[in-house]
Amino acid sequence: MSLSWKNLPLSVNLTLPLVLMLFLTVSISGYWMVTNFKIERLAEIDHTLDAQADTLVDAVIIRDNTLDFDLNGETASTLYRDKLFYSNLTTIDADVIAESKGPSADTRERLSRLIAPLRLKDDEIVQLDVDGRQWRVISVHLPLKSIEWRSNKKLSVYPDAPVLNAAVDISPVLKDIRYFKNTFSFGAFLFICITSFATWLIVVRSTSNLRAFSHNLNLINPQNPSLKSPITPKSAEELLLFKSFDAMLAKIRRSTEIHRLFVASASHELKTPVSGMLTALQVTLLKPRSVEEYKQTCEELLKSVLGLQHLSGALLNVARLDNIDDITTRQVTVRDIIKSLQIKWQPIAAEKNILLCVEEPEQIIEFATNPELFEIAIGNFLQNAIKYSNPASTIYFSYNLERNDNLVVRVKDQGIGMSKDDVDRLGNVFFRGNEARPDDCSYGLGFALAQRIVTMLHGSIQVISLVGKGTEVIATFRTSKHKV
Amino acid sequence: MKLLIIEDNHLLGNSLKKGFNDLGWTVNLVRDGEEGLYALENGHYQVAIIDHLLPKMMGMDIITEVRKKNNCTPIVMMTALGATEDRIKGLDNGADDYIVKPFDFLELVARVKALFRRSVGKGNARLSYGRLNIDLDKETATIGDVDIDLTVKEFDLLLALSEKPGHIRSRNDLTSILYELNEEPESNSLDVLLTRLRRKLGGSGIEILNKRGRGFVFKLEEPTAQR
Repeated sequence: MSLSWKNLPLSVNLTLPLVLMLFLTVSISGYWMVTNFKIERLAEIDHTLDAQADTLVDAVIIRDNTLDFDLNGETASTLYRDKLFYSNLTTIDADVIAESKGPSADTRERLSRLIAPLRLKDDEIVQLDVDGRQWRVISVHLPLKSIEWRSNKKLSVYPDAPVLNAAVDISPVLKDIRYFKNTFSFGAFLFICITSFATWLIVVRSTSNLRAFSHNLNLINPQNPSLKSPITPKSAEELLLFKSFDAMLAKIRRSTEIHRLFVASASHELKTPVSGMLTALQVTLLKPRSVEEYKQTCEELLKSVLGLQHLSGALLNVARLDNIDDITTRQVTVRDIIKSLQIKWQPIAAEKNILLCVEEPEQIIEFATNPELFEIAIGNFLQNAIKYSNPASTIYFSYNLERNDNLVVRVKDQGIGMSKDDVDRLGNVFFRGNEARPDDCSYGLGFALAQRIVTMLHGSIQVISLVGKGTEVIATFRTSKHKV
Repeated sequence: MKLLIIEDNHLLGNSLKKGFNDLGWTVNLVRDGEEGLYALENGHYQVAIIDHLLPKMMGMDIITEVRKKNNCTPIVMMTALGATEDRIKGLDNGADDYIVKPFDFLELVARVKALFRRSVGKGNARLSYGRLNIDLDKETATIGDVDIDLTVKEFDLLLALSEKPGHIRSRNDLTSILYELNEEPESNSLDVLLTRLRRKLGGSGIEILNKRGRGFVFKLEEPTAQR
């Protein structure tokens, strides 16, 4: 199986994009936060450095005809000795006049050497790397006149105003920033991991029923479809899924059962007459018989063959109808078809001393249908009515336009009727009521055929029956665009 | 030998009846399940052949019903369903044998005879009582080595009586075994048969006792005391 997105579990499909999104979000926001933090910290340091430089400017005095720092002030004194702070006074040519003593001599020497060529403008701040440590440097041109006034002395040694350079070691701050960044990164990583794991776990748990359901689907026996072990739904969606699936399984089971019964019935209806013919021949040939016996056997065999012929024809008709998608229709006058049916079935009914009473409406009713199929279907209703009616009873055969201009055909007999169970099973191929015998050429196919025909003609059938009272078959066909 | 056939197909039912009649069996043929159940419960049959799909009551249901009432009549189930699971289902439900349509008539006869031997002869084709030997396959009887000339009805009566030696068989029992449902024998037909049978069994060591008002008993003669 190739590795593709759709082959991955849902937990992975959901977790991976989440991890990616979280990573992007956290990375971008983390970068912004760390950068801003660094900028603000450096700005703060720069501001402090500026202030410290100003403080030192105020601490510069003239001593022994040169400039020096007045260490009487606490701040100046502190800054003078701070190992993380360096300040010097230089001439315009970068000669050092005085310097603080906080950092080591080497550091001071390197700092002064690095600062010298910079020629920074007033309040301009740069960052220097001195032996792996970062220093922020600011330069201020000294206000000589102010210093002379403060010192009450005159200084004529320096033709141009000397410069005060101040530098602060920001390595600790940078270390803090790095620490912040690392802490943030670790926290973000942990957050992504925990969130992803939680998501994965939630999805795994949420889909456990789905996996169990899928696994059980594989174990379903097609002959008897049912879920092996019931799964308790954990959500409304699962409940809906399982209910829908159970309903579908029930339909499949019904369909499978109908198919199984069809196969069983078809086997029986086809094999039994064949078995009868085979046994009749074998028994007849077991010993010499009279001519009459041979004749009788031949007549019985002929009857069986004709019955099989009828059965196979009916089965083929049912099979053909099941495979037809569309049928040709034309405008017909219902009265003509009813007349044809009456001509065919009235004598048959009369043979059994049954009265076939036809009731017609005054209006001429026409509608688009397939007249041959229509006649077969209605003919079946009449045939059944005659078959299951008692002598000296009446069959009522009527038709009319009823609600929504639908053509309603009714065949009502006073025969043996059917139970509710039998009515429910009407239309199943090979179903016949208990009173029907195969010797009457009744195989339970006629009504199944009629039902299929009525459905294809956009109609519906309703059967009302009471045991011992009779049966009424009501076939309704739409004659317009209205649905039945 | 009495056989019940429950089959709704006219040709098959009649052909089977004719065939078994030709072979000397007394056959009752019924056409639906309810009638078949009634016949099986109230008649005495050595074997029954029952179709699977019947009007009013399925063959399988008939078998289940009679077995519930401890009716041990051997039953051959006749059906168009030949799949293994259908055979298993039929046999599990209580059928003793199973034959799939369309079948060879002689095969069915062989199966019926096998069940008959198991039922009457307890699996043996030959039964012996004293000097009387009964061959179930050939449907003959001998006393020692001497053949006894028995009619079909006499043989059936001998089998019916010897089926439960020492037990009383009522007149009604014997009549229902010997005659079809729709047959109405003469009132003394059974007595005539018994008289003829007793005469033919002379010297076999078997006696058929008449228990007045109750029936008849098939038993070995007690040896007479020697003086």
